[in-house]
Amino acid sequence: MRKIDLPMSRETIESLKAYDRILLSGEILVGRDQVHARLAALINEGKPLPISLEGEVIYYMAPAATPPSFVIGSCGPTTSARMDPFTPTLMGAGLVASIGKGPRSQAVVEAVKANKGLYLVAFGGCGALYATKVLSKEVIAFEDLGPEAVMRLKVEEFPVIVGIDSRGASVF
Amino acid sequence: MRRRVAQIGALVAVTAIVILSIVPSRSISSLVARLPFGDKGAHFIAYGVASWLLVFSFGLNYSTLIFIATSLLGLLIEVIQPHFGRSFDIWDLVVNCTGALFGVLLGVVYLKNEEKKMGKSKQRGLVDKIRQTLLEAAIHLEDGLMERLEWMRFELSQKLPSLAPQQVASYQASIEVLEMIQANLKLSEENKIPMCQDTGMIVAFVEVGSDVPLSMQAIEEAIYEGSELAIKEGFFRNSVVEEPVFERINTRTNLPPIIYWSTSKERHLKISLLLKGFGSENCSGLAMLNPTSGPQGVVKAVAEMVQRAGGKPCPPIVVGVGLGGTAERAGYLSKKALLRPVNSVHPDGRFAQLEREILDAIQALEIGPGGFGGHLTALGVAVEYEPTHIAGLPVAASISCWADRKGEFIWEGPYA
Repeated sequence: MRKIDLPMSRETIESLKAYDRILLSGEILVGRDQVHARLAALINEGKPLPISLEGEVIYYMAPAATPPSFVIGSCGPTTSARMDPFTPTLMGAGLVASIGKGPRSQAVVEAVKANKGLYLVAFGGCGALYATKVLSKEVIAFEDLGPEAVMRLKVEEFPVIVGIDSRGASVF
Repeated sequence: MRRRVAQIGALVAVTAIVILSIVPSRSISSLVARLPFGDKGAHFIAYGVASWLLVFSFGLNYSTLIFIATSLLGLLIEVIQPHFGRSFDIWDLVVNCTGALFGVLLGVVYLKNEEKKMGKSKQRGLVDKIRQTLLEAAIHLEDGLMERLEWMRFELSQKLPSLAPQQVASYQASIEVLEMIQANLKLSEENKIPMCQDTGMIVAFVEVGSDVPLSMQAIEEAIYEGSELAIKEGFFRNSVVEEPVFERINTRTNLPPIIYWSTSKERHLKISLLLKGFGSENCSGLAMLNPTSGPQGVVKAVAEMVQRAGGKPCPPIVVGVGLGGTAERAGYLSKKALLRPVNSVHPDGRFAQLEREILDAIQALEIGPGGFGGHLTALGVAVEYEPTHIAGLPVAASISCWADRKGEFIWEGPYA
């Protein structure tokens, strides 16, 4: 299993192929449904974003409550398809990769290819396992969304499978 | 025990009233003079104590009867007193009845209060059962599901050597999904944190038997309270919003739960609980088929729903199918089907066969664990049916991810 540090270089992204199993270490953004709707609306209106998406990887997730001796609670991926309508817009604003579970729309496959990005598949339902891969978390925007707020996570050896590669090859 | 003591006490009190009322007044006048309000005080206390003890002896249901009986006793005694050298006194009669009323009321208030407290303590036991069941469900899957996951991992691995080269990557990814799930379940149990961050909406199925000592309100309160405790203690996620369309404000409690009520032929209370995640719930569906569609129509309808779901609901999946009733009843039955142990079969052979056919049709879709492909997608299919209308065949499917988290218990109260 290949280990990859974040942020990823162009060469690293282009060297990855669909079905590759990788372990990510570094920083990722966290955001899901409401965050996507808000960010896409701001981008479409030409307004500034509360966070920069340039070169970022976003993880579709909202964690469960944090037990005392943990950095984060159970924190597996949510269904990516719900973010499909917004992903091309976010990739247009600099996002390079997304992490979620399940298949994506054809529009997302094309956006990943056009932006030479990636779609990474995390293991659905494996929240207890992912909780052990997070070193730190910080809420950085849209705090009013509660568990759905935008966070920045520092992760170590976070396991994913390449779902759509930069050439547009998909596992689904 | 208390009832026995009260009965003896009541017997003594009534006997004392009768004896003291008919013996010559000289022999008791010195005793009576020491009591507050003298003779009238004695009447009041005697009838009060007797009726109070009688209420304890026979319970709340007899309180009116006890008041009437003690008042009649008071009347009878006043009437016969002239025959024993005593006198009839209308004021004695009034005080007798007032004392009886006072004693009965005191007993009733005491017993009612006690009943209320007892109800609360019964409710506490139920709250704790609900809490424990939910906490356990969030970190532990039933043995049958664990076995099915291992069975699926083994079956896919066995296929590896005989696969076409272009299929190998797909099978490897699917096998890895199952291995990660197994590793995740181990960590969840060890660290006591939910196996999945989507701890879902709590769905409760309540079956009320004939001898359940709690009201529906008390049971509902217990479900809310038990859920609240489990949500906090188990580090669940607050995944519930107040209203589905506009503001979607998080309730920040993960409440309310969804509660389905039914009666049962048993004596006890049975509560079954589901932690229903929504990645899979979003893939659930309903088809209103023609009445002539038959088993093939049902198989096709469910397979289509699962195909539309694809890799979205965290396969491998468990599918609950509800047949018959009305549209919403079929949906309810499909949830109820998810409560069945994953390795159980329908007791009716025709429906057991239908379960197998649906399962085969789902496996043939080749969605595979995580949606990565492979000849196995479902861990189990359970069908539940009910009567329906001549014009229809409602088919609902509730899809659960591999984390088909559930628990149930029978509760006979703390005195069982």
